[in-house]
Amino acid sequence: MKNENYQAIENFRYWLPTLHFCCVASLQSPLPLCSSDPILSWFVGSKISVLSVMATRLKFENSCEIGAFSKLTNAYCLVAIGGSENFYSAFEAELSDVIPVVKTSIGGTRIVGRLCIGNKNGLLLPHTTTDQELQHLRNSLPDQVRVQRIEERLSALGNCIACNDHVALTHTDLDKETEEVIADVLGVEVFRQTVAGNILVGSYCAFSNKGGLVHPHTSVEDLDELSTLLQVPLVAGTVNRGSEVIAAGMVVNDWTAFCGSDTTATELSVIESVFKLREAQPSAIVDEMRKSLIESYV
Amino acid sequence: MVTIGGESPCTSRMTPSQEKRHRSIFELPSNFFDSCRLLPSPHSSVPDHYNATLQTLQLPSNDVDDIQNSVVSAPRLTCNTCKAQFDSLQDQRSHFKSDIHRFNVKLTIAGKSIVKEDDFEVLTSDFVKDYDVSSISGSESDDDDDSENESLGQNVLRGKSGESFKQKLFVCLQTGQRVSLWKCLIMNVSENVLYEDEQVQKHLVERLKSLTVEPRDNTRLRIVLLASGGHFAGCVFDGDTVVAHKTFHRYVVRAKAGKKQSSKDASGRAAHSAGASLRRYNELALKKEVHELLTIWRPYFDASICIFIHAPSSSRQLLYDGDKPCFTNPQCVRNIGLVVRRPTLREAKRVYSQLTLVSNEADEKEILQSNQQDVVPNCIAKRNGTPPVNEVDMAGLDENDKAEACSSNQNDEALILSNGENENELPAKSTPLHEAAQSGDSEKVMELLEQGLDPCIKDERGRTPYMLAPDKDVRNTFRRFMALNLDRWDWHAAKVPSALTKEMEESQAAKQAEKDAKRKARAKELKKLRKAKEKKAQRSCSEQPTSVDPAASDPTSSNPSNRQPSICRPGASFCVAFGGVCLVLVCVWGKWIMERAKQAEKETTAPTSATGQSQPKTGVKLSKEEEIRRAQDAEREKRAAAAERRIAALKIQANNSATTSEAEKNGDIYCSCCNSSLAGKVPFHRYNYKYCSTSCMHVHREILEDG
Repeated sequence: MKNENYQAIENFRYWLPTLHFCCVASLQSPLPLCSSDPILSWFVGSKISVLSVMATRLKFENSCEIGAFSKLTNAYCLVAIGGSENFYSAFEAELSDVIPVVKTSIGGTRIVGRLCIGNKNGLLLPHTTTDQELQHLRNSLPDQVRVQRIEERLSALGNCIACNDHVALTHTDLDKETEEVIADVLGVEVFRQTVAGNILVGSYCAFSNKGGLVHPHTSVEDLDELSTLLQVPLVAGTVNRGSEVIAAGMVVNDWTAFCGSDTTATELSVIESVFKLREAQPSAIVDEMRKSLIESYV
Repeated sequence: MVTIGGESPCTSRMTPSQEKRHRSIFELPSNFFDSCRLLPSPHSSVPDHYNATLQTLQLPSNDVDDIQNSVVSAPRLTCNTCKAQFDSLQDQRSHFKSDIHRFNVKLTIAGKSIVKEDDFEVLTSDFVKDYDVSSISGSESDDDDDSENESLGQNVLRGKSGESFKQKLFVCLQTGQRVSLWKCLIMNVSENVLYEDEQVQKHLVERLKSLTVEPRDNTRLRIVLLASGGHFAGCVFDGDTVVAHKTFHRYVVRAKAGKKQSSKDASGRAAHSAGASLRRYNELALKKEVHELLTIWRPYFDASICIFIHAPSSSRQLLYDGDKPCFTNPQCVRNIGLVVRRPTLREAKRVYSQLTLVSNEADEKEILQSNQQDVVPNCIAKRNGTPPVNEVDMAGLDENDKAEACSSNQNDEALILSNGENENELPAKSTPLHEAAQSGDSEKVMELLEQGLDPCIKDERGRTPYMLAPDKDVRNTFRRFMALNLDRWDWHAAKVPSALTKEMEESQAAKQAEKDAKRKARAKELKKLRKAKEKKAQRSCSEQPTSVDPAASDPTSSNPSNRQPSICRPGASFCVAFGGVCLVLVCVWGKWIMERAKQAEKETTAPTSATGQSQPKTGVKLSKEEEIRRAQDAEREKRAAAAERRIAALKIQANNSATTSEAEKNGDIYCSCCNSSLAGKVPFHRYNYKYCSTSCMHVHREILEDG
C-alpha cells in the first residue's frame, strides 16, 4: 500500500521554480502543532497509519544531532549501530514497510550520516569504509541502488556534498574525478557552491526533491539563486532549538523527516511545510486522486 | 642559435623561456614546416642547400577572445559570487560547474576579490602553479605535481639520452633550427622511416604540414585512453581543446599485496574474503562501464584520426574484447611511448600535451662542435638549454659569437671551472660528470674529477653524479678521488658516503683473497667427499648381487649402533636406507645365514690347517664337499638377498615417509649421506634428511641435484 503511495508521489512530483518560501514568518501551520508530537501519536494508537507522523523527533544516545548518525533517502535509510535499539526502532517503525532500514558503521565509526552521501540512485562511501561494510551495504540495499566507495581526500562526504535525486551541491575542493563519480552514481547534476559562505554545503543545508532548509544566515539573493539552481523551494531556518548545522539536526526524504528532539514546534512546522510533508500524507494523495477519479466517473 | 620567438616581445613576459621553446603542434603557424627536412637522428647534419638563411619566426598573436557580458534578463539567473547574470537556466547551471566559478568561490572564502573571466584566462596560463586551478586530487600525491612541473621541459633532455630518441622524429626547419616531435603523432611507432627515400620524406613532411593547418571543427579528433590498476581515463581532444572526458575508478587492486584480484585468482587458490568478491565484482563493473562509455563515444571514435592507448597487461581487456577493440576506427590506434602515471584526467591531458609537443633540439652548430670536441661543447649545449644565467660576462656578444668564444677557449681550464661554478648556482643541470658517471666510464669520471668538475651538482631530478653511477667501479672512482681530495668538495653534498684509501683497498683485497681461498678449500673438500661417496656407491653396486662380504659376519657389527660408516655391508645398508622393522628382521635373518656359512667355512678350514701334511690327500674330497656346501650357501644367500629386495620394494611402495619416523622410534637415526649413526648427536636437517655434518649435507645435496 505504502509502496504504491510512494509511486504516486513520484509520479506527481513537479517542480515549483517560482514558488519560494523566503520568509520563515510567512509559514503558518494550519494544523495543530501537536499532531506531530510522538506522545499524541502514541495516544492515537491504531490510527497512526492514517494520521502518520510527518516529522519525528528523536535522539541518538542523548545526542540531538541525529543527522550525524543516520542517512535517509527515498530508497533506503542507514542507521548507526547504537547501544540501544531505540534509535533504530524509531526509524524502523516509520519506514520499515516502505524502504529498508540498514544498521551499519562506516570505517568503524557511527557517524554514518556525515561520512556517506546518497540518494535513491546510489550511495557513495569514503575510502575509509572497510570491505566488510561495503559488502554488507551492498547486500542490504536494493539492487537498483549503486554502492560505490570513492578515493577522495575529503572523506566526510556527508559534510562536503548535499544532494537530492536530481542535483547536488558540493564542496569546491572535491576532485574532478569525484565529481564525475557523483554525477554517475547518484545521477545528479553537480554544482560547486557555498551556503551562506560556508564551504561545507553538506552540513549547512538539507534538501529533498520537494524543498530544502538552508543555513539561517543565507541572504535572500543567495536563497533565490540557490533555489533556482536546485529547482526546489528553499527557506533559511534552524533545527534543534536554533542550531544552524541543519544536516546534523535532521534527516529528510520526500515524505518523512526526522529531527533532533530539541527541535521546537515552530522549527518543526517550518520543516513540515517547506518539505511538503503534509502533502505527502496518504490522505492528501487520496483526496487529490479522488477529485480526478470522480471527474472521470462523471 | 635562434630560439623560437626569441625576437618576439613575448620573451619579456613572465613565462619561463624554456616553456616558450616547446610548443604544442597546434599553435604553430601554418608555414612552420615549410621546406623542412627529416633527420635520422638529432646529431646528423643536413645537406647544404637546406641551410637557408636564418629567418625569424613570428609567434601567432595571443588574441584573447573578449567574452561579451551577457544581457540582463530573468532576475534570479545570477551568480552572486561571481557577480554575473545569465540568459538562461542552462547558462547559469554551466557557470556553476565551471572552473572560474569554483576559483571565485575559493577566492571569496579566502577573503580575496573575485576575478573576471578574461583575467582568469591569463591567470590560468601564467599562475597555474600558484593558485592550482585544477582539482586537488585526493588520490594523487603532492610529489606528482612537482614532477609534472619539471616534466614539460625535461622530457626533452631525457629524450636525448634515452631510448625515446627512437620514438621521436627530428626535423630540420627552413631556418636551420632543429625540432623534434613524437613519432606516434603522425605514424605508428613500429613504422621505420626511410630517411633516404625522398618519396617517404615528402609524404611525412606533408603529414606534418597538414597537422598545422588542420581544421578545428570536431572532424579530426584525437583520443587518449589510459587504463591501469582499476583506473580508467579517457579524453577526446580537438587540437588543444578537450571535447569530452571521462574517468572511472574501481577498487580492483588488492591493497598492500598489489595486482588485480583476477590475476591473483588466475594463479590458483581463489580467496573467499569480502574484499576479494568486491574486487571481482568491481573488475566486471569497471569493464562494463568502460565498454558502455566506448559505445557512447562512438561518434567521437568515428571522427578520430588518432587513438592513443596506454593499457598495460590485463588492463588491455578493458578496451578490447579478446582481440577485437571495443571502439571503431581501430586502425589509428597508437601506443603511447611515454611514461604514464596513474590514469586521471590530468594525466591524460599531460600525456596529450607531451605527445603534441614540438620541442627544440640543439642547434646544428653545437652538434658539429660536439662532434669535434668532448667536454666543452657539452657545457655549451647544456647552458643553451637554459640560456640566461651566465650571460653577464658575455652580455654584449651575439649568440653565435658566444659559441665561438667558448670553442676558441676550449683548452682553458678556467673556463671549464667557471662553467662548473656557474652550474653550481643553477637549480637543475646535468653536467658531463653526470653523463660520464651514468655511462659507467670510470676513467672519464676520474679525468673529469681531476679537471675540477664539481661532483656536488645535482641534475634536474636532484641526483648527484655519484648517485647516477651504475656500478661499483665508478662509485669507487668517486671514493678514491674523495680520499685524495678530502677538502676540495663538500663530499656530503655530493652524496659520496666515504673515502676509499689505498690501504683500505689493499685490506679489502686481502680479505677477499682470504675468502676466495677458503671457498676454494671448501669446494675441494666437498669434491673429495663426493668422489669418495661415488666410489662407495659404485662399489656397493658391484658387490650387491653376490653380497658375500666377510665383514658382514663380523660379530661386532651385530649391534647396529656400533657400525662404522666405512664398513660397507650391502644388506645392512639397505636395511638402514629404508629403516623398516621388517627389514631389520630380514637383515638379521640374512646375517644369521651368513654367519652359518662362515662357521661352516671355518669348520672346513680348521681341520685342513690341523692335518697339515695330509692336506693334499683329503683335499680333493673335502673340496668336493666344500664345493657343494658353498654352492648351497650361495644359493641360500641369493634367495635371502632376493627376499630382502622384494620386501624393501614393497616397503617403499607402501609408505615412504613412515620409514623415517619408524626409524626414529627405534632410536636408529642415520646420516642420510654417510650412513653413520646420529645417536647422541644433534643432526643437521634439510628437508626430510638428517646429516651428521654440514659437509655431508652439501655432498648429499649435490648428489640429489645431479640426479
